Formats: sequence, structure tokens, C-alpha cells
Amino acid sequence: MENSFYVGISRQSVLQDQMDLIANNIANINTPGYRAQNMVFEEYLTKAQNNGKGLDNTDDRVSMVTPYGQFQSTAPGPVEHTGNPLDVALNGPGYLGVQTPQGIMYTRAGNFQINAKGELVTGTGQIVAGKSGGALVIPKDARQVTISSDGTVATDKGAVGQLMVSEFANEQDLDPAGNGLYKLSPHATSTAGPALNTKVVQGSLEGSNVQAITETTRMIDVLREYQATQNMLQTEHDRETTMIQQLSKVY
Amino acid sequence: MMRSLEIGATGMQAQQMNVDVISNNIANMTTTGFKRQQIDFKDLMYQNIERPGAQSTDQNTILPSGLQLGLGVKMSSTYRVNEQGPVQITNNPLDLALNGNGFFQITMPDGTTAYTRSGVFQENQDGEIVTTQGYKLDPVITIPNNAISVTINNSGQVFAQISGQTQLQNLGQIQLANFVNPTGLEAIGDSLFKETEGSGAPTTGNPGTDNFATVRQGSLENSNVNIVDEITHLITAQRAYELNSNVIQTSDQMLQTIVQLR
Repeated sequence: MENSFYVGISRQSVLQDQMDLIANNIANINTPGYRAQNMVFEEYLTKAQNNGKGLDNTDDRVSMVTPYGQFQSTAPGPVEHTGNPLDVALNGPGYLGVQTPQGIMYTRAGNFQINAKGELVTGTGQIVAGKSGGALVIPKDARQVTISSDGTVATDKGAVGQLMVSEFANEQDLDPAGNGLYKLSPHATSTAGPALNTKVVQGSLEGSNVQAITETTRMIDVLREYQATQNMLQTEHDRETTMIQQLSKVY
Repeated sequence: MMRSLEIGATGMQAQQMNVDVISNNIANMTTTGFKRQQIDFKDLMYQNIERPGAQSTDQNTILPSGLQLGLGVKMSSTYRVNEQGPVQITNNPLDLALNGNGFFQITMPDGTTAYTRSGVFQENQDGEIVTTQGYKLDPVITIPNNAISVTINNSGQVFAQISGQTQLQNLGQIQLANFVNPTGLEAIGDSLFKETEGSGAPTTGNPGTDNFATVRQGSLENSNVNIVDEITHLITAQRAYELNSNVIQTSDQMLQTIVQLR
């Protein structure tokens, strides 16, 4: 009897999850290299009570909704010219490799810095991976750092190395790990391949690809759907109240 | 209760910090030797609701992406952009601009060394070259009382024309300090910086040698704040702030909807 309640609640609970996702996108609207996330829902069928063999041979299964997963938008974010020689943006589908205690992770945020040892690091101090492994060390007496379109880092004292730029056949294999980093999913179907279609642009920085208008529209949508479901629950509640009142009058 | 409420709050806090940094840049748009600061945001940790790769049925089908909800945004660092600022001619003999990498070394009253790009120098009562706060330039250079004029060349050598002498008198050599990571220097106000673990130890040298800047007498290095950039960033920050407050409002309305149910 309460099925309609449960269906409504299942919808509201996924709408809350979606609201969380939208909130996270909007909170990261200024985060370099951030990629907007979106959610996928899935129908969930309850077990049939009479195996589809009721009096009128109908299927009495009830379909609910559950969250299925999320995916990140792979649309390129706006590229801002910063003039900072240690800012790099990627033009193409690739990702920059970063060394972390959990192994190589990937990022689109190319706002790098130099640490006290002269190594190229991310804003959170993680070492930027070179193509052949190891760190990229900028010599102390270097006057100028140039990063060419294939990711080769050079100074006026000579070449330093090459940035690790990887491409993935399926970018959804990358799971967000926080700090602007993505981790290759343990169940990934693709592996990090060489950068064939990605160019490195020095002195620019890729912003967040979150679209304010899309997120706001989605947010309104979530709110209204939430309220509509609530109305449905209210109607159902009234119906049951009426039913109880009417039935009790008989006696 | 709802994650989105707190997530919206992290967004608003971050944008507030962003405005703080931008306003400091704008406030210092004419400060000699000022280097503009930039704020770096990172996404916070993720909560695994459904682990990516979890089995979705007993038929060994696995979730391709899983459900990971991010918990908002955080400030990871503010860093200085050490771009060369525009050099302005002042014709004041003790105004020195640095063109290139390096910092003037200043001896603080407590004996420690601080570093600055601001080359506004004056003479104190003993004829020593000091900053506008009265802190001595290191190494100390003393201008004799009977000097008519002071000349400082591109390599930082200081000469004085003494009345009654044809030969210029060499007063000393200005030395600069350089850091592997100048972004890691700690700002202590008054356009002064202190060495930190992050900046590494200074290397000192004469201007014009290696990768040290050249000194320009009678000029000052202006702030490298680009006002158009700052205003654009300010607009973005304000709109992002409003959007985040919308998130909070929407979450609030959703909660209100629940409260109405009885």
C-alpha cells in the first residue's frame, strides 16, 4: 500500500545526491582544471509479489530510482592567459602526470610552482612527473623557463625534461581524487597512452569547465522536482487519511 | 543534513578569500616593487557512495564509474607572480629599479636579513643608504658628507663625486640575493620578504652577473598588478559568490519542503 511513498522517497533521496553534485560543481566554478560532474540514475525494480501472475496477469513490480554513477564533462574549460611561465594549459584531451604517494595521478590544472629543491610541483606541493619518471628540476641559475608545445621543459641552461602528458581512450576511467587530481580507476578499460592530440600551452591556465547557467538550471530543476515529489507524497498522504476516515465511518 | 548546504558554504568562503586577495592586489596597484598574488583553489575530498568498480549484480557486472560526491572547494595556496613590473623613471638618484631576478638585501633592526624589490632608498643621518623605514641596505654603503652626486651603474657599483676631486670615489658594491623559489618567500609587510624553507637559501651576487638583475638608477619598479585582470577576477569572484549563495538557498528550500510534510 505504501509503495507510492517509497517511490517518492527514492526520488527525493537521489535528488538530494544530485543537489550535492551541483553544489560541488558551483563551489568549484573558479578551480583551475576542474571538470563538472553529472549524475546518472537507474531504474530499480522491486521483486514482484506474485511473479507477474496475478489475477489479471499484470506485472506488479514497482520501479524506484537509485543513483547509478557520475561522469565528468570532458569539455575543455576556458583558457585564461596568465603570463606566468609556470602555468600550462592543455589544448586537447590529455592529462598531466603528478607523483603522489598513491602512484601517478592525473590533472588538468597546470598552475605549477617550484619548490626549494627546484623541482616543479603542483599548488599542493606534489611533484610534477616527467615523461621518463622522476621530477623536473629547474637549475638554480636558470634565468628563464620555456615549455614547448610537446611538453619539453627547457631553461637557458639547457633542456630539463619533458612533462608527462597522457591521453585515455575513455576519460571516464579517471575517478576524481580531490586536490584537482584524477586517479585511474582500478577497473579501467583504458590505460594511459601517449599524447597524440594534446598540445601544451605555456603561460595559460585552464579554468573550470562548470557552466553557471547549466548548473543553475539544473538546480531549479532539482528543487522543482523535489517539490513536485513532495506534492505527490502529500496527495498520497491525504488520500490515505480520507480512506481511513471514510472506512472508519462504516462502523 | 544536506551536504549541499556545507558545500555551498565552502564555495562562499573560498570566493570571500578570493576577493580578499584581489582587493589586496588592487590596494597595492601603485606600491613600488609589489608582486601580485594569485589564489589557487582545489576540489576537496570525495565521498564514495558507490565505489567505482563495485559489482552491480551477481553476474560479475561492475559499475563503470561509481558514485563519488565531492565535498566542495578549498584554498590550496596563494602565490606571488614574480613577473617583472613596469619600470618608471623618477630621476631621484637613490631610486633603484631591478630589471630581472633578485632582491635587495636589507638588515632588519633585529640583525636578520630581509629582502625587497622596492628600491626607494634614502640617506640616514650617517650618510648610509637606508630604506624609507630606516633599515640599512646590506652591504652598508656610506655616502660621504662632501659628495655632490651619487652614481650607481647597472652592475650595482656606487660612485660619488666629491667636491674638489676630479676622480669618482668608489663607495662600494650593491649585492643582490636570489632564490630557487622566490614564490616561497614569506611577506612580512613594508614590501619586505623573509627567507623560508620553501624559498630555499639565498644565493648572493653582483647585479648583472649570472641571472641577477641589472640595477637602474633613477627609476623604480612599479607594482605588476594588472588592473583589468583584477577587475575581471573581481567580477568572476562576485558572481561565483552569488551562485554559491543560490545553492544554499535552494538547499534551504528543499529542507523547507521536507519540514512542511507532516
